Amino acid sequence: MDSADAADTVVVADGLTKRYGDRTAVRGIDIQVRRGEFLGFLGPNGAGKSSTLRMVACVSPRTEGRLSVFGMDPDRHGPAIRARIGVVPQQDNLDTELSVSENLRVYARCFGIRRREVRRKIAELLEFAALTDRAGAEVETLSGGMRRRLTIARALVNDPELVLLDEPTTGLDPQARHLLWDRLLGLKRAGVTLVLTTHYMDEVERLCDRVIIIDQGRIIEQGTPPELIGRHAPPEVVELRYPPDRQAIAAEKLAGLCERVEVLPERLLLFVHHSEQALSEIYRSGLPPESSLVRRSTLEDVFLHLTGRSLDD
Amino acid sequence: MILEWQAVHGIRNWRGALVGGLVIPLVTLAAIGFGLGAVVPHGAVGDSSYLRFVAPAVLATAAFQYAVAESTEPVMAGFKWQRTYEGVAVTPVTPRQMVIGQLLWTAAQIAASGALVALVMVACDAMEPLPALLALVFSTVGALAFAAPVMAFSAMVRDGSAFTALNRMIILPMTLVAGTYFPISQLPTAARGLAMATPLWHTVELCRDGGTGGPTSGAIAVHLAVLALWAAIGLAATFRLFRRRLTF
Ligand SMILES: Nc1ncnc2c1ncn2[C@@H]1O[C@H](COP(=O)(O)OP(=O)(O)OP(=O)(O)O)[C@@H](O)[C@H]1O
Ligand SMILES: [Mg+2]
Repeated sequence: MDSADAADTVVVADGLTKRYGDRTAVRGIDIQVRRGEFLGFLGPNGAGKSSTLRMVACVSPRTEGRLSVFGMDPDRHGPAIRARIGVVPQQDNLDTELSVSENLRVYARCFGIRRREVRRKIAELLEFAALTDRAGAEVETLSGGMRRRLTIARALVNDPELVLLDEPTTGLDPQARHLLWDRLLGLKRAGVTLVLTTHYMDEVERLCDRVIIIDQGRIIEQGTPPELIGRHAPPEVVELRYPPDRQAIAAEKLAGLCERVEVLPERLLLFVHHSEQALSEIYRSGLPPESSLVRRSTLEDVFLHLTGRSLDD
Repeated sequence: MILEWQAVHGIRNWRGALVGGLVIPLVTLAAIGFGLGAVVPHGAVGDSSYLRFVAPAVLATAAFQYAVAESTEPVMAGFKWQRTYEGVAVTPVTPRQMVIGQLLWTAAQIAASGALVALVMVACDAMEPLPALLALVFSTVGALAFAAPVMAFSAMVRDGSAFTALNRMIILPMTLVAGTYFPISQLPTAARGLAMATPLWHTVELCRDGGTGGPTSGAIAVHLAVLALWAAIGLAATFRLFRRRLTF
């Protein structure tokens, strides 16, 4: 890679691999994250999202492959890289015996931020997390969602150029989620590079420029959310419910009316181009469903199609 | 930075720290030094009074207990109960710096509480001022040397019940027999060897030497060397274990 590329690319991974003992969590993935980009990782439980993020955060040494962050090697320049990254871990690790603002203060000091600067920063981050009126409260007394907000605010204490968010919105109420989305988009506007993992597809559709779907440690698909939907799912979905004894027959008969049928225990999903037309054909075919629902196809449909619906490991 | 983190903790918990660091050693001194001292005939433990014999050991023992308290549960909390170490691991602070920060903070607390204990001891004529000062320094150094291996132990074990075992099977017996309340010459030979391997015995000897102006600088050097060995092994193990548990 030439130097112009290097300046634009914050993270480069080639054949990145992580093994824990004889279990392989990440199997040779290639990633490039451009400066200012908002990248989303999707994948079922155990796919290797957190492992990947932890390697990029320079807290987990890679087993194999090449990795460079800000053009530096995590094995050799860990502290220098970590100084420029903000990390929101999947599990909160706040000091619950300290107050909200003390948590921010000690963390800021870990980054060597000067005391005077720290005071200003704390006020700003409390505002960010909407926790100003709880500044003096012990973390022990905060609700789960408040802790999550504090963890996210804490990750910004060093004005990071790259922010890694591992399921940041798990446990947040809708208000807090929307607030966070706006804050994250604000960071993006300010030029910060963001990498997020989540199980909420709407979050990815709303925030991310690009999505990488991983399963069992491998990248199985990537692109912008609209690209992925266009590639893997016809635009509309008709969801139908039938009594159990008639579902199989219906599935067979209706298959001809649509691009793809997915048979779930209680529902049939018909992927179609024109739902109105499909629906009237369904009623004409003499197989009226108990109920029907028409919607646009989403990233979630793509995700489930690509990674399978069962909970296998 | 870690030092500051710990300090914020310390300031919040000063009442608990005061009880552990001051009240317990002074009660021990009163019970053992004055109480037991009253029934121990003069000359039984060398040519000093029993109170003066036991005072430096109480100081050293208190320092060790403080070191153990600071190097067990807080370490487990950092790794497991609160995972605060994981939080620090993503900052520029390295695992090695975390260990050093934690040990320095432990040392500062031991020195501070030890200073208060020593003051009271001087006030009730259990120690002379200058030897008390020396004993304060030696007990802090010795306790720190012991904190390192205890920290390694805490980083190695996976749950808190191990600390109960540590206290019952190692700390308590060591506190009783390492030349603290009676000279180790009273012990059977095998036990004497064991007692002489403990860092506490070396620390107690150092604290007492300062107090009686007895043995030579050679003996002092040997005691310090043994403590340095404990510290070095403990520190090396702690560094390794911290790195292994924080960067997996
Ligand atoms: N410290 C560890 N030791 C051993 N195996 C691990 C460790 N951490 C993760 N794994 C394994 O690595 C695989 C990937 O885990 P990882 O946490 O990266 O998944 P994930 O995509 O973040 O999943 P989730 O959505 O559940 O958070 C899993 O099979 C997991 O069991
Ligand atoms: Mg995860």
